[in-house]
Amino acid sequence: MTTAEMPQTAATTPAAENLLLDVRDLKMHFPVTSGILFQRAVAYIKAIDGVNFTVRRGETLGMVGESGCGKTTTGRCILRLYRPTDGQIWFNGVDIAQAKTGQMRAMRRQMQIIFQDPYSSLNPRMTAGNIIGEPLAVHGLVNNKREYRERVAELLNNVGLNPYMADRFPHEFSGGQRQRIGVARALSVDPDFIVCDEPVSALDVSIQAQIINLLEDLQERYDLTYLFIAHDLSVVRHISDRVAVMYLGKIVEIADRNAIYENPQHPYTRALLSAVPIPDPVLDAQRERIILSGEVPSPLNPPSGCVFHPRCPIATDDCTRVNPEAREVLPDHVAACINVPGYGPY
Amino acid sequence: MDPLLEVKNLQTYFFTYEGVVKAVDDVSYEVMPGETLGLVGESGCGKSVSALSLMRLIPDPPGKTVGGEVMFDGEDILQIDMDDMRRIRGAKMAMVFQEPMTSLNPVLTLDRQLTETIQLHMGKSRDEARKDAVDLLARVGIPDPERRIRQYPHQFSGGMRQRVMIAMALSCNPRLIIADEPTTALDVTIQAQILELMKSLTQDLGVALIIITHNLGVVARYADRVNVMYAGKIIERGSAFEIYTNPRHPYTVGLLDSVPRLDQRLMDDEGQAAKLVPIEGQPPDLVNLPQGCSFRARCRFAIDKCVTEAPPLMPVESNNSEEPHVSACWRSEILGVQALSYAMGTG
Repeated sequence: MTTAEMPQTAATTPAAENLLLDVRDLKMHFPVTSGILFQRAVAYIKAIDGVNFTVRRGETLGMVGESGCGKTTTGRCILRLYRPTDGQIWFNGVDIAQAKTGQMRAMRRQMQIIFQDPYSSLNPRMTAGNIIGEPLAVHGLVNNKREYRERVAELLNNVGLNPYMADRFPHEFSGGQRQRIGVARALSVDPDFIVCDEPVSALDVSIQAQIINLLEDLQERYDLTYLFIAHDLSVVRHISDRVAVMYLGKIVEIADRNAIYENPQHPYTRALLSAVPIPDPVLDAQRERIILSGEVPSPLNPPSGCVFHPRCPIATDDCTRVNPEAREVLPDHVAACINVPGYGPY
Repeated sequence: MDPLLEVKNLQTYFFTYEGVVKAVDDVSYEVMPGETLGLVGESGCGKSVSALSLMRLIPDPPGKTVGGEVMFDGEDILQIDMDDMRRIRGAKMAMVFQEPMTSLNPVLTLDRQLTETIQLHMGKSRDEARKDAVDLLARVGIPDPERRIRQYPHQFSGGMRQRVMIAMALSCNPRLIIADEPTTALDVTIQAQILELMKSLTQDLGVALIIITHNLGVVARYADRVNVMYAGKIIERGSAFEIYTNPRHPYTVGLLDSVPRLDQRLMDDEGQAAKLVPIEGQPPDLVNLPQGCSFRARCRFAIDKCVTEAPPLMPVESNNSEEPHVSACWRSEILGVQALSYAMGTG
């Protein structure tokens, strides 16, 4: 199916033609149910609650935040592994938030995902070759067995594995090699856009660098656009062009990579950055430290006003009442905090 | 000052169907009273097994500590019988495990889990022990300890559970705490809270601390001295400052180069995005360790001698004469030049 057959038209999309992805007011609320036979929702977990961001063609948008902040849910909503509660996801000029399953399957030729855990995301009963080749068969990208084998061999080669490894099973590979299989599988349909959901956090430090370099090389070679989800701020800084910081289902700050790391505006971003240890005892001792008190509140019952205010070192009385929308506080620098200079009246 | 803990030539092997896994092979180090020692390495390098060997918690079979001495407070705790060991464990030497989710008993309240060791080792009554336990919980920063102590582990978050683990480790005033990846399962902001707590408590109470981690940043901030492990052996040791500013083992250099860092430059001199320098290849199979240096297959500096002879820990030139800096590399001198450029931010 081509995009022209889609129910939505490209006419309503934003003007900037180099936007690949435009997420508007995305919400994903998971029901908490009660009762056995007649289940009813007694509450909603607001995993993401009104998220706006764009991804330009060819760039890497890093998405950071602590566990439970909704970053993985955001990635999965974009791929429509979840059907979002509300909002729009414009991908390549098509709103896929409400697209039907069949349409979505066709769209997934353009968008793929690399999962966090290379141990549980590969089917242990399929060979590496079949894991990588399955999308080829599903999307009808090869005509015969020979083409299939050649394409699988090429993909293995591209991610730094040997083509003869196609007949091996996942347990015969190390963690880093498994993640390479996951990358090859994502690449098999020749996508434009890949959601990398914590692709290196399950790997050892010396192997992480190998995978990060591989992802960077592939991006250059195939013109890929990444949404790079991670909790490791150093890794995100290394790989991203722009960075979005999430907290409790909301984006609290989004800006160019250098702006986020050198001139963070939101108090949460500042605390997060200061909490990252640097492997240099001298430099580390000189840095300002902000130790946040308390923990991330439950998304089942988020705090009133700004969701960060119970832990915020600069919270004022207004923060308990005003729910700050994300606003441009500096050119191309969006933050959701009423106490940031440049936020303006609220 | 005499060391509190002296590990000499410790060897812990696992006897499996595939062969003998030399998880810890001839490891020696000391811990001074009150100091914080970092033990760094990747998964499978033997850092956790070496810690479990100190506590004599290696499952036997298949594991066995086949050689070496562990002198703790003047006695070799590898030789004493299990009853005596039980009197040391938890009382003089305590452990904080990686997974706060799985290391607390889910069917017992905190009250029972915390008071057990206090009653056992300190000979206190149930009521006294409960009072102590409440104090401990308050000390590790758990609000409303009187009420919280009656709750079950599932009612606590990950960070709170790790605080409980720390309270438990501190409960009998130990002389040494072994923290095995204490913050790996936690978020960055919680990680900072827990590490600060451990640092201040061990400092106040004069407890020695061994932090086992794969995170070089954590060690840089909190350890006085650092041991770097690779394939069951310590390959470099020195003060934290020395290890980070003057690394003299190619593996340590590789580890430092391969992690993206917040203080790192993002562009090189030509304006190209700086690339990470990974350590190519995989760690060796501990069943069939190659002859010679176990790192040589991944080493940029390997020479013929590395194939035939395993390098022992040898002293290297250091900026700090009080604290010896040792490295198990035949070519550590060449690395000195490299390290210089690294310290200047150009490496």
